[in-house]
Amino acid sequence: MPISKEYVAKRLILLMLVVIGVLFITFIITRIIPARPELLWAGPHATIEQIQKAREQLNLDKPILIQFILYLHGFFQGDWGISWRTRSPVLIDVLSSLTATLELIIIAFTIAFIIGVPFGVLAAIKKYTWIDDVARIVTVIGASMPVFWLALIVQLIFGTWLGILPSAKRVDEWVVIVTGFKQITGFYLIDSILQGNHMVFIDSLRHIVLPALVLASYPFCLSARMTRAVMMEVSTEPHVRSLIAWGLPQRTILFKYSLRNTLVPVIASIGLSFGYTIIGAFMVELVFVWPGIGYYAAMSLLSFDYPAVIGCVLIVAIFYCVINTLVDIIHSAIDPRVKL
Amino acid sequence: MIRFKEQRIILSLIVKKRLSLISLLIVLSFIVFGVSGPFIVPYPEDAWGLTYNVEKRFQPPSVEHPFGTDALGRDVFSRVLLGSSFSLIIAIGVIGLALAIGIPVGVVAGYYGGRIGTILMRITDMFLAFPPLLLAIVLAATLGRGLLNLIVALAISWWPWYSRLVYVQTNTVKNMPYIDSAKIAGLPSYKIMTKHVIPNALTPTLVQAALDMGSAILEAAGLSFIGVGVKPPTPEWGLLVSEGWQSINYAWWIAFFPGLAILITVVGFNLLADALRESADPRIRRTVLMRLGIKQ
Amino acid sequence: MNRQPLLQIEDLSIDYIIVGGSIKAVRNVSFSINEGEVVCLVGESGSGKSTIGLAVAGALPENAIIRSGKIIFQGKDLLYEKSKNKKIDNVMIVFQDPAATLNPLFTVGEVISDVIRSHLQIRDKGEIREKALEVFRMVELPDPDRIFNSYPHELSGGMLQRVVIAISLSTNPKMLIADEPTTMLDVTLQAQILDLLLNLKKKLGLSMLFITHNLGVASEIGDRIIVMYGGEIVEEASSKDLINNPLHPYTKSLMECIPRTHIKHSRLKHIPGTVPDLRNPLKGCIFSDRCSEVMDICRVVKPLLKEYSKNHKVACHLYSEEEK
Repeated sequence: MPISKEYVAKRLILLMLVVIGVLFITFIITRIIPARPELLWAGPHATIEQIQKAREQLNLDKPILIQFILYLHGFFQGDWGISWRTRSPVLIDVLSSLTATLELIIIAFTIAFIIGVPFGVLAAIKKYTWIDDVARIVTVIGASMPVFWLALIVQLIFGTWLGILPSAKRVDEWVVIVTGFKQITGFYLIDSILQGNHMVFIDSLRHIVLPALVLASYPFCLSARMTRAVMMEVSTEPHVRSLIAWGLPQRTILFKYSLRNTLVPVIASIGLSFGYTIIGAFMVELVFVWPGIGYYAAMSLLSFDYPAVIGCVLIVAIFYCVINTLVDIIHSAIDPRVKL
Repeated sequence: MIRFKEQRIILSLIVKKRLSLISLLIVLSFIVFGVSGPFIVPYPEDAWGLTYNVEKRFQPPSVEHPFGTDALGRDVFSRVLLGSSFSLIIAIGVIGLALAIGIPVGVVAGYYGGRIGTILMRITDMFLAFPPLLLAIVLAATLGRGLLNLIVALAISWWPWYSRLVYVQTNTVKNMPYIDSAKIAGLPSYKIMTKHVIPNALTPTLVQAALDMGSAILEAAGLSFIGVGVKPPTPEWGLLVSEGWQSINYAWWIAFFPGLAILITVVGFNLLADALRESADPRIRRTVLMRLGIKQ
Repeated sequence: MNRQPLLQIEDLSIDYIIVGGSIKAVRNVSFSINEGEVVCLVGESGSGKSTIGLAVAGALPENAIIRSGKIIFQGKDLLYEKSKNKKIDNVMIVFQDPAATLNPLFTVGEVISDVIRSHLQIRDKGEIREKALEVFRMVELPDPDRIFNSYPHELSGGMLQRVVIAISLSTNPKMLIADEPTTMLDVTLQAQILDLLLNLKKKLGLSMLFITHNLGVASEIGDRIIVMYGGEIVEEASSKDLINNPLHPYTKSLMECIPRTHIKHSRLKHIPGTVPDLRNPLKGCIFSDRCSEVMDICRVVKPLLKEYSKNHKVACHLYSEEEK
């Protein structure tokens, strides 16, 4: 199915509006709801001058509408405030920690969907067998798991007790120093391959295993559960029954027809899974000391570094909107009924 | 061959039924512990975090302290047990408040439609544009720690789901023939709303809301864990795990048991949701699927 | 005239397994269809008529179990063939709701091509397309080229049902099962589709198993009518015989349910009571609790399907004097 240019253009305009809506809500929460936003902005233990400075920065003396416009202006100018914990501009902090998170999330997400969807399909095909019963129980437990607790337990068992995998940071410092590893893209796995640095590659691979698996657990179960539920729903539908009656081979029915019907809603839900995963990364990164945006956000939260927290929220929210827009465009490409 | 297939189906149906029963048992006992928690804890002072006892720090699980003791010598079992009360309060509070906002918005938008409907649903969409929990994090960070703030923060990030569900249901119900006949019969529109639309549109949403209590507990625990939930020494499960974190390498039980409590409780609610998803009522089935994030 | 019937169903019983038991949806049903004949299965919803259709087409739901019986088509046991995963080319089925019958994500052409490819030994794309367009023309679809590339949601209900019929005909079947093919359509379309089916039957010499709840439609299209109630056959006769001389009390009350314009001021009748509980079917006659002419024996002894007059069978104690 070709997607029309108008459709994409429409979606992009919609994306712009959604981003402004997101900024509007965060503006209300951060500037209107608190009695004295400058106190939050300046952080705890701030001096009177610092508070006064924060007041000026936030334009709190101006009318609310002007405040909002200046807020939008500041946002698009990249003026996101100064983290008082790291003493550097929030936008720089946030962007520099983004690749670490992306490396983790991409791997977790790939695991989740590449294994999760076939797992769900298998469970649905093997309805009424022990495979399905096991799948039900495993996925329900995974979807109910407090991810921060799982992270702690996994870290305890594999890192501390068994000692077979490292359970903190992206790579061991000494490996970096010894091999003279340099960051290029910020993705350690890619950078090490580019430099032919197999020591860093193996070491960072070993480091990423635990956090990636823990982070993957929720989206994995979500995608498996959803695939299973939708596949079963689909297999009872008349259009599948009619294909059986018309004598198509089971393979064709399953892998050509039912699978596509199943994938449409599953793909449409990728955005939401992604949302859960990125929030899960806040906790997983905190536990595994993974220097990504989740770790940055969680540390900022724990030290009441308000500008930094808001910066993280904005970048994550906007990222999420972009992903959802992409998912919607893909959705319209595979479902002929979706047209705008 | 036939017998084998039949046996397999029956066995699978029994497993399904067993799982539903287990889930019901978990949910019921969670509610019972939640309600009776404050009255049956073996060490009430420990549970509320009012005292500490240095000589009893870091004791492993024993008969006296089945879940061991924590860094301040408090009985972990008592704290986990009382934690069920807090989780119950949080779950009911979050879901109740989210429904209180979401239902009116959804019903009005769905029933009247037009410009009001569009505006209300656009606002809802704006909230839904945030990843789940993120809005709650900003709000909780802004409002500060505390039980009430936590509930408000979660409910604010939660209500758009319900207004969307109710909106879709109301739209469906609105076009049913019996609403037309009520209109022709001259019933005033507020009466049609309260007598016909709301009861019919709400049932699936309320069922779903009850099942969402598990997710509310999970998310509240997450917020507490990263430091924007309840204040210490509140025995909230997420905070208990976070308190046990520092000492996990030599006193695993402090973080382990509260996390297990979260897991079991949420499993209960989710299994129940599964059972209902496969239930006969297609409205409920559809709602559960929608809540999973499946766009229709 | 004593040739082998095209389709022969012998002592067929089908259960649906559900939580805590099973629904005995079809019980000891036997009948046959000759070549070129249209047989109508008539009954309320839950009478088992659609289950029989699905069983013949080999598309029973997963939780259905065939307890006993044989479905013999052209001398071959279909159930046995199906268990050997052999394709059955000669029976095709048309379903009730054409919009739901076709997968919304695939073009009509893709579906019919797959059906043709898996049944006829054609591999060439162009040839498959030619065959598809040929059957599209056969069912009087306008602009077959456009329809071939259309998605179901782009076509109207009447067109969709024609498409579904075309798909069913694309394998050159000997027999068509039509499971309430007109129920979801509006009245003018109903007539068109019925006409089409009758034409095709004449043109192609098709046999048909026509499943409907509408005795009026059945009498129009059917050579023979089989009335089912609660998973059993209660009466079987030629259309004329059945309409002019219904024997079974259930058939009689069904006749009274047909709206008639020439009788003035008559209220439309309905049958009191509800469809029987098939988890525990009644011991005696399955209709005894709703029957207006019920006798003591009916509650105890199950009446057998017996020949009342030539080619007119009924299962009712009213007509079996010797059994009384």
